[in-house]
Parts: sequence; structure tokens; C-alpha cells
Amino acid sequence: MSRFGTDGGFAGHLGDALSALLDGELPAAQAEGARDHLAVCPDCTRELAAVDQARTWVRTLPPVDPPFGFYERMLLDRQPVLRGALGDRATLRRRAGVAAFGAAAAAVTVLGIGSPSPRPVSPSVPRLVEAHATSASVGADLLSKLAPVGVPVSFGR
Amino acid sequence: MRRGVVALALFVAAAPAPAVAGGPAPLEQARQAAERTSFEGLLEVRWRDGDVMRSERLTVAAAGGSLMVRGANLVMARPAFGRLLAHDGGGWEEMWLPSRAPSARPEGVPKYVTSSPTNGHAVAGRPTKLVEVHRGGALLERIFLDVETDLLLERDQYDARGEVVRRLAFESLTVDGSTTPPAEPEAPARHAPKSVAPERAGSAAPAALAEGYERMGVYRSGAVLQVLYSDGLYDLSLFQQQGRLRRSDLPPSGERVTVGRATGWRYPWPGGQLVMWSEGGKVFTAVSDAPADQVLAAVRSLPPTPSGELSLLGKAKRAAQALLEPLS
Repeated sequence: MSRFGTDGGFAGHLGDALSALLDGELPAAQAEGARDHLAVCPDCTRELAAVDQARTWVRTLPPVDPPFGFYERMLLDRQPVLRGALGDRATLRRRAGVAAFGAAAAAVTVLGIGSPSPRPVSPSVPRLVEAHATSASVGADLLSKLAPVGVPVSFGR
Repeated sequence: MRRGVVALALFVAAAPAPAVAGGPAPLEQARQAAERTSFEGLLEVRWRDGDVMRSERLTVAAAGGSLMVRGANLVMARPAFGRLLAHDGGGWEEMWLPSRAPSARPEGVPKYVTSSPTNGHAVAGRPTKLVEVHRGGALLERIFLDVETDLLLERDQYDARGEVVRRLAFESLTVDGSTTPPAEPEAPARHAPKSVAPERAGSAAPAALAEGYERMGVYRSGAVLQVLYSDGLYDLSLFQQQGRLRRSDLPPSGERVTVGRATGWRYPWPGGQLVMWSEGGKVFTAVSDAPADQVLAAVRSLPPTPSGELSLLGKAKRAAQALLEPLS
């Protein structure tokens, strides 16, 4: 079920929609709603960063070539190859367990312990001052509110 | 603004002194005068920056309901275009749209006492009427309005020691019906923020802060959320964005302050004060024309921002959920 309402707003956290947002696959209204939510939700922002990081890591993994003749053996003699490679049922279960454990460990590393801390940001103070003054000037004495913005904010830097 | 100060006037009516200002409040009178009067003048902006008083001169012209401020930045207010700004000879940027009109300023805040007009000193050679704004017996502002037009000619803000911390004052002024409105800006860059429904912003946009500041609107520009507050006389914008502050990125001149559990820094700007701090994975910047003590009290009344940091167990749990969710 979609987390989004008809106006692009949504309930709860973004979850799977983060991946779609990164891929540019969300409709404009939903992408807008998602960005509204990201502006106020540290959890989703962290998750977005983690998903983005994980995707970057996966994309940068080197391609692995199969052993020489792998495709040929698979196509010409599929059953023996599979049986020989996987073994009996008990071995299959053990290997599945090991694979699940490995995947869980990787997930813990990627999504949990490796979660990035909030990135440093340096707010554009002049921009914020201008945004404040122009919005606060509505319905107010224009000289009082707008004239100070004629002077650039510098803080002596 | 008018309703807020009219409410103040009603409050003052019940108080013994000083007397109530008659008619519309002085700043509302000034607002209306600036919209209907054509004038041109040289305005001095002075503000205290630490131990130093800084000043800049700006030219101001108004006609046909539009107003233009010319300094290093150009600022234009036009009825049809909202607010526009140009930096250092660059192109115009549309900073605000008329359709983004915030809620009315709050009323009924018995916070300030506005005096009856008296004769003020001449400003730019023009006779004035003086109105004082007090709070708790302390002088906050002196406002000098042109006797002939009601234009604001001088506005002084005082600190607790009675010293001027900010001043806007015309050095020269010509009231002239032949002043032409500023030229219409061509294809300004669209940088006006978008309105956000307050319920979408949730706890990031409390309806009210200490000192009687009430929320007037919530806006978003890129990744920055702005919540605009007013107490009827002063306005305060609270900007929020995800991230953390690095002290090394901040100007060294800031005064260290505490906001909740966080350390912040306060800076004066030509129009007031700003405070920056980070907490719970967010960076906050409060910008206001209010006195510093009010700005600090208001931002300190914000609810604590949840840290959002998970314990190691919490992180493992979340990772396991992420792993198992697609299989369920």
C-alpha cells in the first residue's frame, strides 16, 4: 500500500520510498512530499544517507568473472553441476544458514554500525537573513524590515 | 501588526501610565504611509557589533506602492511581485511571493506599552512625533514618525542599559509625488520558498514559543525549513536543516550561548540578532529583529530535539529488520 496520500503527503517514515527517491522514480508530488518529510525527520535522513552509501559501495564492487567454462557446464549439464555444487539437503541448510548469517553481518555493518553521523553543514547565513527579512516584511513597516537587508551580512569574515 | 499593537493599546488603557496611543499603532501608520507616499532619501543603518557601532548608508525610494532600497544589495518590494533582491549588481531574485502571505500577526499579547505621541526631534530636517515602546518599565524603542506623512523617519532600539543597539534614521528625505516607481524586474530567478502545512512539519514547528511568539507560517526552500513567528512587534524565523555545526565553519566573533543542551553562538546583524546551534542531527538558525534576550528565551523554549541516535542493539535490530523485511 502506498504511504503517500493524494497530495503527496504520507504517513509514517519513508522506508522503501527512499530508494525510489534516490532513483528519481517518485512522481513529482510524492517526491515533494518526501523532501518535505526529510527536512524534518532525522531518522529518514540518516536512512537515506545509509541507503545511498550502501548503493555506492555495491556499485563500486569489482565485477567477478566466473571460472573458465562455468556457463558451458551449466548449460550443457545443469543437474549434475547443481547437485555437485550444492551437495545434499543437510549441506544445503548449513550453507543457507551461513549465507544468512553473512548477509545479516553485512547488513549490520552497512546499515547499523556504519551509519554515517550527521554531515557537517555550514548554513548560508546571509541567505537565511534575507529569507527572514523578506518574509517578515509582509504586512509590516517595509523600511524597518527590509532596509537592513541592503547591507550584506559578513560578521567580519 | 496593527491588531497586535491595538491589543497593546487596549492593555495600556487598563494601565495607569503612560497614556494610550490614539488611532492606528505607530508602526502600522508608518506601513500605510510607506505604501501611499512617494519619497526618496538617504537612510543610515547603525548597529552594535560587539563593542563597535557599525553603520552603512542606503538610498531608499518609494512610489506607487513599491519600495526600493539600494545598498551593496538591492531590495525591492512590489505589490505584484512580492519581495525581490539583487546582490552586487547581479540579477533579480524573487524571494517572496504575495501568495505566501503568512497568518496575521498575533494579538492580545500584553507585553509592550506604547506611549502617546509627543513632539520628537527633527529628523532629516522634518518635524516628527515620537512614540516610545516600553516593556516592564524599560525603554525598548523610540519611533519618530514624520508629522506630515506618518513615514517612519527614525527607529532606535535600546538594550537593558539604555544604550542604542540599532538605529535606522533618514539623513535626508524628499517627499515628491514625481518619484517614479522602480522598473519592473525582468525574469527574476525564482527563489521564493514553498509553503508547508504546519501539521506536516510536526514537532519541528511548534505553534508558539516563549515570550509570546506565535507561528505565522512554515516554509521550505530546498532542504531548509523556515518557521516564521511573531509577537506582534518583532518577528523571528527559525531555520532548520539536517546536519551538524562545526565550530571551525563559524565566524569567530560569535558570543557563546546555551540553547537547551546545546552550545550555540549569537551574532548581531544589521537588522537584529541571530543564534546558531545544532542538536539531534539538525542545525538551527534563529534570525530576528527582537532584542537578544527575547530571541534566546524564545529558542530556549523549543522542545528538545530527539537525538535519533540508536544504541548498538538498536542498530543491530534495525539492520536485522531491514534484512528480514523483504522475506516476510
